[in-house]
Amino acid sequence: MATPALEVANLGKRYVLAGRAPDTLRDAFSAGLARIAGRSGSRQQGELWALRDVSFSLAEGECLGVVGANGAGKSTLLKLLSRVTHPTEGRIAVRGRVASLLEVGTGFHPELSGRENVYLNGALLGLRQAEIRSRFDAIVEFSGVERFLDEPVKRYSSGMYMRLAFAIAAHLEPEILVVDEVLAVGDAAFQRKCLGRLADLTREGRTILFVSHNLSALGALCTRGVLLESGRVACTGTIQQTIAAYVDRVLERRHHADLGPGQPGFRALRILDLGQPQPAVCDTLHPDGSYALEIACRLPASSGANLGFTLFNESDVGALSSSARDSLRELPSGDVVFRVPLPVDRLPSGTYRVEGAVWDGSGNLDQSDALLRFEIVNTRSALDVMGWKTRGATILERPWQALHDGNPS
Amino acid sequence: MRGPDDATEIVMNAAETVIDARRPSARYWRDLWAYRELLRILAWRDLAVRYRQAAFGLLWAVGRPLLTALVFTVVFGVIAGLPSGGPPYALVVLSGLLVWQLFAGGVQDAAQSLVSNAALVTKVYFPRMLAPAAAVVVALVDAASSLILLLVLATAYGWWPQPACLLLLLPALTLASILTLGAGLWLAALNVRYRDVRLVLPFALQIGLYLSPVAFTSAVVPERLQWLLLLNPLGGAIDLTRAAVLGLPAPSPLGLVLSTVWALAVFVSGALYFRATERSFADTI
Repeated sequence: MATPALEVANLGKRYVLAGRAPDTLRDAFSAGLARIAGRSGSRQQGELWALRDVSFSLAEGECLGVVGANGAGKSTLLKLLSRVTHPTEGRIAVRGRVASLLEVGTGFHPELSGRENVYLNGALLGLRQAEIRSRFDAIVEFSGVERFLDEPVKRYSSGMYMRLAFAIAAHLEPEILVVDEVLAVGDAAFQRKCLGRLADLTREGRTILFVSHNLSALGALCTRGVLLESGRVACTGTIQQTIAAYVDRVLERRHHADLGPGQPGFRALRILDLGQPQPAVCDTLHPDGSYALEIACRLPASSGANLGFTLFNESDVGALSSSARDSLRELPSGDVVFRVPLPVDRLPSGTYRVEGAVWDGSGNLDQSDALLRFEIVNTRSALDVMGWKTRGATILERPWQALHDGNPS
Repeated sequence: MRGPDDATEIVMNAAETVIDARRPSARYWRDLWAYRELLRILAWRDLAVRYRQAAFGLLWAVGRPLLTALVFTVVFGVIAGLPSGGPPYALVVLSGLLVWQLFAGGVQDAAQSLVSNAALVTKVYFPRMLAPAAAVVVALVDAASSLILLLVLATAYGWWPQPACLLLLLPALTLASILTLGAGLWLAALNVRYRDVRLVLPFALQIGLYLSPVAFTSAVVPERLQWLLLLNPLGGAIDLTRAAVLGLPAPSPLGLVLSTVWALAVFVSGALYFRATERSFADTI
């Protein structure tokens, strides 16, 4: 593309830390009086660069995944792009209309009906009444809330809220769509529908900026990635490169982080080669060996406590999942070490990362995108000579049978 | 499938937008126009929600000014025995309240408009001026229902308004609206930054009610204090309304000019202050 759809140059956003500037009229007056009286009221102000020196450009029809830990500046970047807040330095050039997919129900008024909220939300996103009217049926159909259209949305479930909100934004037809962590809500079927719709939009030539903690959704949808770290661009490239760089950093941080006293969560993960006389730590696995994932963690005393993990391959497709309660009825509390044998012969060659969570009835207690990374070299399967795009995430372990004229040979 | 209209629209929309840290957006006033439908929808939203929530929405719209007028009529007209200058005292009070409510209600809602829409301000871009402006539109709708009430009551009293005089309502309400929007812009912006605006405002408005010729006519103010009335920008709008509906003497040209200058000064300074602070609303709210 000769002219990019979006061009960001040296973008920076500085926040003055709260608690320094007067936030009541009374304080403002007395500060003013102090200044008049000659007593210098110039308190040193704390400041924070949420984003600095960020530059990238995006061609029309590209989908950019923005990756980074919490507080890395992802939300600030999206706020600047959607013009919610103004940059402190730098420049953004956008060709076309930018629309952001709002968080669940932002801009919805609980007392108004679904129908009325479609018009309200559409107007907030910059659509004219006539434009909303011409898309109304498509929006309603996509959302699947036809029957409740005249009910006030305060009676909607959060899933219905989300579906309606997504439907509106997905039918805006902006040139650039900004999507922030929306797929956290809604059932799996709807999430697939959303991802499908986003993929359709990129095929139609819409440019998408996608922020998510869901690495596999990022991997599936995006073509390019930007990794933000402490407000700066740490890496740009293909989405796979960006996710790999992100996983690197998470692993490194994980290594240095310790759990607070009594805090439940993961302590350490490693792969043990059980084939050795003394089990040894290793990071390259072969299908002929026998390996186990060893998980050291601290579990809460609550009765619903559980932990589990998923192995993701390098295209960020989940290959294997397991949770402790799948095989253990009772889990001890406190510091525990678990050993889980890994079916290496069922996994194709590649780099894998382990995503894991510790949770109880109240939600996630600890969660990480990357607890560990290891390599599998599976030369046993003939599938391995082909690229990963052409094969499944797991290999069938059952032996094939050749049937001759319908009879087992 | 796209029609030809859509195609032209895309070309229009594909115009480049540049956000530069060093320069304010040149598009602001164009955006304000492009988002004009949002003004209507925000105002409609607030009206719809109010009348849906209050079980007796209409009773609220009619009963509140009626009850206030009754109290003021008894206190100022009957007990204090102030002269009305001709028309029934209740009509004098009601016409004063019409303008006062437009101002006080509009300013109060406008002051809260950004804070109560904080979820929107921090998530979506729209020209922020639309929020206080929508509050003023809501106040104008309320004023229209008060006006109908006033005209019905005037007819019931046999006090027919002169149709030609009613035209004076246009400048009267325009004047009051400009002043209300100006004060609303000031207070909405201040309210984002300073938490105690919310506490000071009702008190200031209560004092303002008695400093304005709402429960009495400008004519009862002693000669040597008349100049004080000229300092009140709302006085001109109230006197004009009374001239329009009740046929009371119109305010002096000097008073009108001063009222207009006041209103414009508040509006222009309010808009400038709002524009200057608007960039940081999403950060400080």
